[in-house]
Amino acid sequence: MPVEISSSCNSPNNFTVNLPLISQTIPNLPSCNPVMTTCEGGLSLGIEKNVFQDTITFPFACTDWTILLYQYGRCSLVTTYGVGGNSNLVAHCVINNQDAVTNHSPVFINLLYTGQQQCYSFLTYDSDGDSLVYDLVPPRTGYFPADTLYYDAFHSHATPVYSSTPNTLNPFNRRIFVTCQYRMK
Amino acid sequence: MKSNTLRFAILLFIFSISTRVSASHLVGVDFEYQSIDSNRYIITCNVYRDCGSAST
Repeated sequence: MPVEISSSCNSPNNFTVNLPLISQTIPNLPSCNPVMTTCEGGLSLGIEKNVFQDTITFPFACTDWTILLYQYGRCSLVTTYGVGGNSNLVAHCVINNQDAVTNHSPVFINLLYTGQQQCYSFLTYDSDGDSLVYDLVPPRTGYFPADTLYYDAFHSHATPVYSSTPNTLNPFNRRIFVTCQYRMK
Repeated sequence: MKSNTLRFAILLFIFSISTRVSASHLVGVDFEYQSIDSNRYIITCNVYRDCGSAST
């Protein structure tokens, strides 16, 4: 999986790394109305997790090394998208190896809070004990922050799930509360 | 405890329907990194995708 690495510091300051696939698993992702997924031999969309990983070496210290993934093929079967469905998926993270020379990122421990159907909990662990703040941000489709995904009339990055109660995210305990009304697509 | 505040994009796109399109399969992505020393990092990219599509 190719990722682009860049910074605002010295030149040359950008290069590309191809991260190899190291594992492929099917996470447990309960839905509001569970049905047989393609991972189980059914027809409903199923999700698999592919882990790409490698060791990279930054050529110098900088406060804003950016690792960016730019891939075409956002899943068009997710119907909360508007016209942006079937478009690019862009994600990035920023590493500061100048001021925080041995920092680690937090790690998502689970994606969904199983057992409480309407409470999504993006539980994370940070080995450095850093203070974490969570936010819902517009999904990007391009290199520029303004290149974001269009949702349908009923959803947005702040309300990604159809719910009879407002979608709420606690920025400090990372839990999203929703009340599903029908099977989400 | 470091004072850095790390902000993570939480990507929430999952869920179902009855047919598939092989060329469109990405559902979500997140990054992790682990410092080895000041310049070397283990970079992990977790990619969530349609279960039945090609693996890369």
